Amino acid sequence: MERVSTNLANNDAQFYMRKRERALLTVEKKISSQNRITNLRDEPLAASHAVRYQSTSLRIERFSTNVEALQGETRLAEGYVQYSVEILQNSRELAVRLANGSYTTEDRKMAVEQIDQYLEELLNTANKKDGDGNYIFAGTNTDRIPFRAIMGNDGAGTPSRMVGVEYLGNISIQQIEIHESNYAFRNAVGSDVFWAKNDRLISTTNTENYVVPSNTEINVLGENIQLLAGDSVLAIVQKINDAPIPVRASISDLDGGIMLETTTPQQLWLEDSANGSVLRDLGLINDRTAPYNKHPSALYSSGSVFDILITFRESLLEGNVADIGSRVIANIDDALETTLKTMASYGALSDRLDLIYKQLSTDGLRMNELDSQATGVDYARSVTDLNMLKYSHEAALSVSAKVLQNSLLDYLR
Amino acid sequence: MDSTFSGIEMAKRGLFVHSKRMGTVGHNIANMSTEGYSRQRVEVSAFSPLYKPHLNRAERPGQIGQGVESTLVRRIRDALLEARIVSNQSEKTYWETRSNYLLQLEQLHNEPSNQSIRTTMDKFWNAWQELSVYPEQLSARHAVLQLGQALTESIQARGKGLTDIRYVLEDDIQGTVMQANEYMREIAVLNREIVQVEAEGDLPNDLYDKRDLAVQSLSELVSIEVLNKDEDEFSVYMGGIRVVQGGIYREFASTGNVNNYGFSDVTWADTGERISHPGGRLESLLVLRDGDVREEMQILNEGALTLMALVNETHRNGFGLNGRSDIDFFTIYNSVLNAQGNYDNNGDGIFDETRLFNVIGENTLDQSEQLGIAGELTFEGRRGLISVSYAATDTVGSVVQRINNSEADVIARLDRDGRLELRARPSRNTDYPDFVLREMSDSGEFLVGYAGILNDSGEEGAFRWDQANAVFALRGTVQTGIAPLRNPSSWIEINEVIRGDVASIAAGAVQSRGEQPRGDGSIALEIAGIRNKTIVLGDNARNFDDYFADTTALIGLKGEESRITYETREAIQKNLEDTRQSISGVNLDEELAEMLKFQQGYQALARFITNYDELIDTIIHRMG
Repeated sequence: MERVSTNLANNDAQFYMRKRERALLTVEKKISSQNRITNLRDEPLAASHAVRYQSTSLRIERFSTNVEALQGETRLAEGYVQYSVEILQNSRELAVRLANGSYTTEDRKMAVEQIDQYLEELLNTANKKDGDGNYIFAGTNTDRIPFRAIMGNDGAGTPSRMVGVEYLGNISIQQIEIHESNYAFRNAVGSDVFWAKNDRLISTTNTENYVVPSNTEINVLGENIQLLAGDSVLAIVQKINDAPIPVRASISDLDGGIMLETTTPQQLWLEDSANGSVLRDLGLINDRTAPYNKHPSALYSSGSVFDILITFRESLLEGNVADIGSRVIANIDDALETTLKTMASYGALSDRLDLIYKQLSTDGLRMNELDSQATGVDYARSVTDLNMLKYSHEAALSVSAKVLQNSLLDYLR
Repeated sequence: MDSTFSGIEMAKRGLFVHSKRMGTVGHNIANMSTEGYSRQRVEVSAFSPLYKPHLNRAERPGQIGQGVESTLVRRIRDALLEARIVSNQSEKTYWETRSNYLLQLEQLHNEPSNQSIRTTMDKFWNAWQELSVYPEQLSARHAVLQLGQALTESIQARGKGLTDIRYVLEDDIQGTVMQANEYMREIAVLNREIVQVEAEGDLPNDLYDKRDLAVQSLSELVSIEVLNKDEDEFSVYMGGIRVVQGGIYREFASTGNVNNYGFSDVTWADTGERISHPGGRLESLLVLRDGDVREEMQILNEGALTLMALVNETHRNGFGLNGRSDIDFFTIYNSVLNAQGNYDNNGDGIFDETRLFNVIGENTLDQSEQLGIAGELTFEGRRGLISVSYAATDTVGSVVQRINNSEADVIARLDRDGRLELRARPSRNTDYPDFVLREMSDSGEFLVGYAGILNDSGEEGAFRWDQANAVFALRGTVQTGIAPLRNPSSWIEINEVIRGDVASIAAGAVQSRGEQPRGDGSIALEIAGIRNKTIVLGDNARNFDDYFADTTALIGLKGEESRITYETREAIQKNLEDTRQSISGVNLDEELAEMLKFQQGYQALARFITNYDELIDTIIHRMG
């Protein structure tokens, strides 16, 4: 510029000082808030990343809490199943002892008492609650006692004994999210854990020519299976076998009725949907609610752990030593196998939870690190920036003070 | 023949000129810091000499100079530079205003921090997770309620903040319109005065300065250019339209627009025609009010409404600890109370519109099923009707995606039961209400027999909102939702049934035979999972996390752009003004030096008069 007006220096000084003061304030804010982003415009992309990191971080905390809660529940349940295993092992010892050798009536009476005690203890264990007062082995029916004993006597003055145990829980399981879209089960289904035998249901109604009248659904072990109008019995059998449930269906040779069998020891749950009656038409179930809705005419065999011990006691009362030596011991072995398998699955779950917990901890650390990378203040840099700005500000002030004071006026007489 | 006293006369003229120049120096120094002042200079020239060639010219050789005379007092300025300053000024104020208001919007987001809507929403999902782990507990439900309320409050707070900013913008617009009128009036008045002075042959420099200042002030508000083709008529143009012509000017007015929440349009006071691009600060305010802030509100409203709809949809299928089911978690207020969505827009007592928010088809569809039919769907979008075609080989999922990717103001999705839902979005055009389905038709069978929404295909089967009872175009058992009250973010709240009895919060799903297993937390888990659900929000969001990250980045980037552009414009403006200062600004040293010069000149002339006086004295007293 050729010509400098008197005001120019003043304007310049003001303009640049304003700018520098703004910069100073920004750096000061960064340092005092320990956050690089005072306003979103400072670093919009880093801010949008930080927003994700912070949300993820909170979720990881949540998953960790879930895993901790689940780990506690699992250990508790594992303990009770372990106890059931011990009871079953004791019963097996008793059976082995009773099967080998002759015992007096008195001895047998003692043994019957013993078995009743075992039954009682097993029932107590199956009806255990967790720390929050919810039943552990009830499916999601956690507020109702899962196993109810049916008492009875022979009418001849003998004390009433447990003659059966009914499962009142349900077969659905509560899922808990332990990592992004990764779930684990909180509670156990009592009719899986305390079951020794595969359930088998054979309809005695000949339904070879049965055809599904209209589109409907049937519910087998909690799984809805779609049936279309015109499906034959064979199609129904096929659809049940194709469904992701441990149930095998076939046509029985006996009466040409349908046969359903669980492939792992558990109770068979069958229900028609509200608008259909296929299972009822097939003579498998009646109008009552699952699971105690098997049709009276159908052949049904089932075996809970309680049933096993009850048969043991009955054989003992009948003095059928041979049966104790063969069938009862075999049954107890089945029961042991189921409960041990449950133990193993609890152990596996526990391991999985441990692993996930570790994973979550490292993920959490990494998220915090990413977050602080995105928004955190580089202290050394900010302080250097601040000092640099302060220094130049002071220089500018002193220069302005010197430049602005002189004019020709100072030298006029 | 020379006059005896001609020397004194010449010196006197010199003295006058010098004192005039001294005066101008004083004027310059006095106005050194006056805004818009341009330094002035007295233009001088030699006085006409004796003699010019006339008949009475004396018969002698040589012309005798007659001293000095002042011709004009002129401002020293560069007219082209002034024009550049005026045109850059409006750009600068545009970005300055934008930057300031966007900063307020950024601050409303409160990100990244622990007090944003996102964090309260994270905590809300967290509470549902807790409930899914402990579905039997009342305390987990209390947490859901409390954090749900924290969420609704933070959404309302942002909604209110945005509304407040819109109202401030509105006030600012009205104020700016008044200010602009004031400046134009001032320019017109000055024009009249200037013409009067000019008629007398003078240059009204200080009035010029005042007018230039008024022009510059006006250029901060609107984008203008000055044209001075006609010397007698100073004109100011805005976008090719003359706003000031000599002594008259064209006024702006602000008139309320019913369709736009009663916010005012800027119009010409005489014709009532809308001014769409005034430029400068005024345009910036209009763009912010009807663009950025409105979009922010729409994004927030859509987020709030989507949240309410999704949580309710799932929550209705669950049961509470008190056994109640089919309860909405959030209350959604409808804009119309009749079931058909009929609405009377012009207030003549006859229904003339149908305001539906969503329709859900009758049939259960499968995402991956091929349609086997072809046709073309028509919806309404920002730029009128939009068609989405589908072919026989398309799957349901791909058609849904295509609708969502189109510019239609409609979102498609399959609901919990696999039925096709079409839902209205905020209107991208200010003339239509938000969240109202406006047009739906299908040349084929997709919306008709396949999804089970419309009765007939083709033109005659189209659903159109601009008539009463448009629902007759829909199948009888189609589920419809009435358009919500406007600005959902301002009234979002948790159902009072739930606030009254927290046990009504559902955690588990009602089973097929109506059983309600206490330990079932599947509904709570599903609600906690809404966070990960694919939803369409804003322009391209995939889920709520994306929604927050995207909106944060969007407003931040806008802010960054406005700041950078403003700084650039500010630097350019500074440069231009420095140049102007360099040309027109007062330099004290220069003025003082001039002062010395004129002082000396004056003294010298006084000396000349004394000498001349002595000369004449000789003639008068010593002769004879």
